[in-house]
Amino acid sequence: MSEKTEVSADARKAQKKAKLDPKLLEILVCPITKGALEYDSDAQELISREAGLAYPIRDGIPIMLPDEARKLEDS
Amino acid sequence: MPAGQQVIFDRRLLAKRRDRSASAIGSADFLLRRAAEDMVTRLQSVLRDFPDALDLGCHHGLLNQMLLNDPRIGTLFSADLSLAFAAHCPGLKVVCDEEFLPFTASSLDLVASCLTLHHVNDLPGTLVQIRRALKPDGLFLAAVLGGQTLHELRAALAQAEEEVDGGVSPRVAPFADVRDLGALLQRAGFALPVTDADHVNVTYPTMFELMRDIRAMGASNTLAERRRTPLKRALLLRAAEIYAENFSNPNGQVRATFEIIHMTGWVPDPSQPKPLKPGSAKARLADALGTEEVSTGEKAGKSGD
Repeated sequence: MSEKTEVSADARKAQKKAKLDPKLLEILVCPITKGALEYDSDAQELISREAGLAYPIRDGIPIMLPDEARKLEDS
Repeated sequence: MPAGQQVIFDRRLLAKRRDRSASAIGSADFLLRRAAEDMVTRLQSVLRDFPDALDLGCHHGLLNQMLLNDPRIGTLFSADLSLAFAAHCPGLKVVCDEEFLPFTASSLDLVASCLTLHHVNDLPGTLVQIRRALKPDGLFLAAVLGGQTLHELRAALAQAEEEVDGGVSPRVAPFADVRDLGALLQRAGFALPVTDADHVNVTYPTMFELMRDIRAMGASNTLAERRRTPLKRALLLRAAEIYAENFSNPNGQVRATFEIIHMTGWVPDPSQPKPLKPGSAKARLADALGTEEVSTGEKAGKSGD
């Protein structure tokens, strides 16, 4: 992951932010599906594949609101 | 929210109100403080550890601070619908909607919620989600505002609106009753449910100081059916008059009632006390009382021995 040559402005900003505590990651699930979340540390997002949503993390605080989540494009 | 579900509260507006109140709430947190202190007293009477605990609807961290002083609590998570509130709390925090809880099943030993859950549209649904997030023998401890809350303000505003505008719109939220909440706990699958009410009477110089406090608490009208125009000056003045006429003390101050309902429930676990099966007694009640047993003509359990 650290091999990236081009770091986007967003990712650079994210790196400055507090890292998500593993304890938090352990207890959190997607509020809609109650399924597991993937932690994307570059984008500072928690991704729920089932719901197709990416929940943002702001200053180390996960925002688990479906309204504020980014919709994932179908792959 | 499931389709067809009645929407009582505008949750998006509530988040904004809570965000805005984050800086002002310190001046009007007397209710929160009282409820939180009561909750902590209740928690102290429980003899066990809580390795993972959640403060659901953490406000500006009042209950959080008190819980952190309890050595039996390991990790304390704080959650609120408002980022401004959550950011106020120390430790691990998350922004979430109480109607869509993002917590792993059977992951928590304690969920404590102080004066937040009365803003939820689907309380039965929320209670079920809380129970799922708790481990077996996990404890749910909550304080919510009850039906007696602000009944004076509700009456004064309704009467004033009727007189000034010739109609009434909802201005004070409907709050649940002690008995309803007990039944809801049971329906959500909690064992040993207990509810009780604490009545708090507060006096204010006039209705306006009361309304200022309500705003500072982030608790002003978020009803989905609310009238979208601001309260008219004439209506407010008339309501204040009615309030003073009907609900004032001899010294001229006006009264306001708040009802705090405390709820406790446990996630069922085989270790919890349960009533014995009928007919399983090993000693006769008559022997213990030293009297003669009189048959009622029916036997509990299996008949014929």
